[in-house]
Amino acid sequence: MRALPLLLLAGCGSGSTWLDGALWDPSRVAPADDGLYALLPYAGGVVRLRPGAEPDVVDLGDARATDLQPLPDASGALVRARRTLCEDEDVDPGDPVDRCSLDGTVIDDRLLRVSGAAVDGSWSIRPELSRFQVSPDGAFAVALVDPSAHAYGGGLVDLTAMRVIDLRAGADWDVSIGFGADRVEFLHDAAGAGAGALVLSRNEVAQVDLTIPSPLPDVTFPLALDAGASVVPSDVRVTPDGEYALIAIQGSSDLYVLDLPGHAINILALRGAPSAMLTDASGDRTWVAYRGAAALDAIDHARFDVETWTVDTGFDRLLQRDGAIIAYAAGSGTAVWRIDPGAGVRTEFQLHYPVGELRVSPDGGFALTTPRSASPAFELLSLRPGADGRIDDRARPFGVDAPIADVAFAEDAAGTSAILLQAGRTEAYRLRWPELSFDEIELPGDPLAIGAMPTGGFYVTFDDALGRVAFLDADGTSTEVSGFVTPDLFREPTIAGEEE
Amino acid sequence: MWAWLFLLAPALAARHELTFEAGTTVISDPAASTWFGAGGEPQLGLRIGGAVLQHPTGFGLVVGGAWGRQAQAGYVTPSYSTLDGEYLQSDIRTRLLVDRFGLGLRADYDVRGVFFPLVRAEARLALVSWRLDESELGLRGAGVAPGGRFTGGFEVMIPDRALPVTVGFTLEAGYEIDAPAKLGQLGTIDPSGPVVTAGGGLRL
Repeated sequence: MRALPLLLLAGCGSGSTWLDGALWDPSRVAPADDGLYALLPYAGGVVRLRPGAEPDVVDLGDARATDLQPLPDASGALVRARRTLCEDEDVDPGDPVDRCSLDGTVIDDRLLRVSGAAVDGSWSIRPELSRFQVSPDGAFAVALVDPSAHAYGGGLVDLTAMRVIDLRAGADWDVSIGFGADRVEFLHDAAGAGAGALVLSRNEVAQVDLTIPSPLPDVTFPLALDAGASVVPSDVRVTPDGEYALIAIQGSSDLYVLDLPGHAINILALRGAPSAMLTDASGDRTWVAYRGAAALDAIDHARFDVETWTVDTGFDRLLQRDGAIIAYAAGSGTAVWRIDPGAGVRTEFQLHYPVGELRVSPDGGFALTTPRSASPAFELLSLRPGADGRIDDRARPFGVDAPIADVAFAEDAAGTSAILLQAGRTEAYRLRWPELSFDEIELPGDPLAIGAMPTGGFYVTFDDALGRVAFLDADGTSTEVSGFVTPDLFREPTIAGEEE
Repeated sequence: MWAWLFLLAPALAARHELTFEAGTTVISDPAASTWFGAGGEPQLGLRIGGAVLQHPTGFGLVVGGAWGRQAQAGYVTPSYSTLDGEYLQSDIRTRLLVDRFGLGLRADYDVRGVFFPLVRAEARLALVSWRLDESELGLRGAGVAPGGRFTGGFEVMIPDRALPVTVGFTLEAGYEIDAPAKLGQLGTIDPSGPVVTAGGGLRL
């Protein structure tokens, strides 16, 4: 018996392999009302993770998932999947994919809507239509051409194509829009339901009615009269009444104002090329920031008059919470401005570190900034007036042990919680608002990222190849789910069968 | 546990065998080579048999059983591309252990009491266990794969079989065909593959 260990040692070989794909991708998770969906790129699968429950494997049939994104209404996830078919006579469904010749390979790309850990919608999508945008209400998705995508089968790629998918009714259709479209702004009706879209492409903006399947847009707005000119839209904002679209142009101080019902185009000359735009519904104005000009312009939507607010520096970020507008320059300045457009009051916060990222709590009560440098610190800004009616314009710096890697907010009945992850540290910080309590919580590993679950609480992803996620309650209680990469891990990609 | 085999054998007409074997089964399943190394790792084991027939013409028949263990281990590094470049996930230490049990017949022919051409047919059962380790987490599981093994080769006895106890050396080659071992939701691993073994042991 003493020889047995030697026998076992002698019988052991070893090798090292690089897998062409991650077992799971911590950056491709989709929080939804019914759990957290995670993509398993190597195995081509999707799992649903829930605290205290075994992972649910989503049955994708003979398709392999290649991408995953959350649905804005948190009702599930959108999964891009691929079925590989083979026209070779000697290859059958179920055979390994590499047995099929290149000429005989037929790719059937799919967009799948997943909810309740099951596929509840499937649409065929051409491989080159690989960029998706989903309307804020989750009712429509549009697929745009990715110019870098590979065209299978040697066919022509229509660079003016866009596919519209009605995620609720199930219908889908092609719309011919401008060349190389790269951005879609969804329009909504008075009830807030998705109704249309503006599709921005070079020299053109197309207005598409999403409620009526049609191969052509309702209206096409040319942005240039000279076919040789190159007018590339960089940003778009739609007025709250849906009457006008304001289009910023790359490298230009011209702001195109499209009269959507009147099919007219106006041009407003700005002081420079906008670096950020924001539409303030309550004030019925659009705010424009400039990187190179110490001013903010507020454009009213009735007469398109411009009111200029002088500031100390140029800004390139604008966001709005609780009616207030927050302006800052990411990566360069130390100034953060809060503007109350209704009261005409502005507050300037001077930070101790140049701003890297700024996050505002969902209720607009406070903001957290992380330094541009990798300094182990963050700063807290109080955005609400105190008992004296004034806003405390002092930024409160906090030193921590390591640079802040990620921040997420969650709300519950008691208030707002923020959890701050430290890079390479298992200790995270939890901030509760409005009582401003600040404590440390221990995570089960080195975290990568944190996000909020739609139903409350947080999820944290960890750098663990076999899959590791922790769900955190607002009180810091952690429930871990790990090792969820196993579905189909040892299964080779196989030829799909023809659909019945 | 194999004592009953000895009881079955005629006392002097044939040779019981106790053999240490070394060889390999080259597992050709791509899943095994992807996760657990290139394949063809050494397989070591024991074989025991009892002679049940020694015909005067020189043909002999041995009933026997065998156990062999093959271990493959390696490191797997998953990777993926992002806009920022190639991203590597941490290494996963992997191990595949295949314990193979066999029960079957060996037929041989006595050439001058020294050289014995032989063929062997066995029913086989492979116990496949896998393990993936990364940090303190670990995943493991197991499955079974029934099958059969067919080999041919020869044995040399030194000194010849006329003595009560001799030493035999074997060299065999063939193929083991197994049903894929089902490993739950991971899929399957098929431990089938070409077999080569060499052995040495006592002949009683």
